[in-house]
Amino acid sequence: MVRPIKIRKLYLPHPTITFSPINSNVAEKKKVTLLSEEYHALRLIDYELLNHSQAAKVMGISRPTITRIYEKARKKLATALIEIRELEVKEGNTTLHGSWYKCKVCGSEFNIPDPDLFQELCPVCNSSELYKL
Amino acid sequence: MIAITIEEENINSKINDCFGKSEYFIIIDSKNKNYKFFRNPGSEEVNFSGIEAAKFLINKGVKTVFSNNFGIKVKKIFDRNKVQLVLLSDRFTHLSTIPSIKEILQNSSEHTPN
Repeated sequence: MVRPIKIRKLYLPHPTITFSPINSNVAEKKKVTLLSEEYHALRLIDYELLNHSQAAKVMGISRPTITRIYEKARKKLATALIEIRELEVKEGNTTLHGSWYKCKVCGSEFNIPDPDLFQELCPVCNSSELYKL
Repeated sequence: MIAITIEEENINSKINDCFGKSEYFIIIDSKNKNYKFFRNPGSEEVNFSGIEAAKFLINKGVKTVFSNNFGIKVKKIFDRNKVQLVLLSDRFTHLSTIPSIKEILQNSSEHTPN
């Protein structure tokens, strides 16, 4: 029996997005898929400059695990750059920490830190058509 | 009260991409229908710009912050103080395009909240 994968915690919603080189024909090439936990590891370590232990704590996983995820993320990023391929960010084994909502009308994302203090309305366009992230 | 990260000190400014690195904030008092611009007190700092900025806004009584990106340190401070974070959709590039504050920006002039 393999140990089940521990769900990695995200503190912000990750964008569902595909990065594509604008001056190259990539239509026939396979996309590189970056998982949400890999995207988040890059954010914490290379963008917010946390060390691996701090980043591991934020994501609720062990230091060796974050190092492995981060290595994969860097390898995929390098592959996309060097082989000139598209890079898509997809949902992996992650869960979003806190109560986050996305507005169906304007597409903005927001959290509700306290249900007593904030209404379930989009703060950007006042729409009540939301879905939970 | 709402704070939004912006690039210039005027109501036609672009939205700034990252909370801590933002040059200016606009603080909008939706109850009294007025607004005021502030320089980000942390914009000169290298490592802790977001923390300085977050403390500043909390002291001003801000309850909701609009930006495109927040760091983990900033998120923790805002969580502790029950401040709502909003990640604006990329269709909102300028301050004037945000529907919920449009009216206040058009109908009132700059004034100190409180």
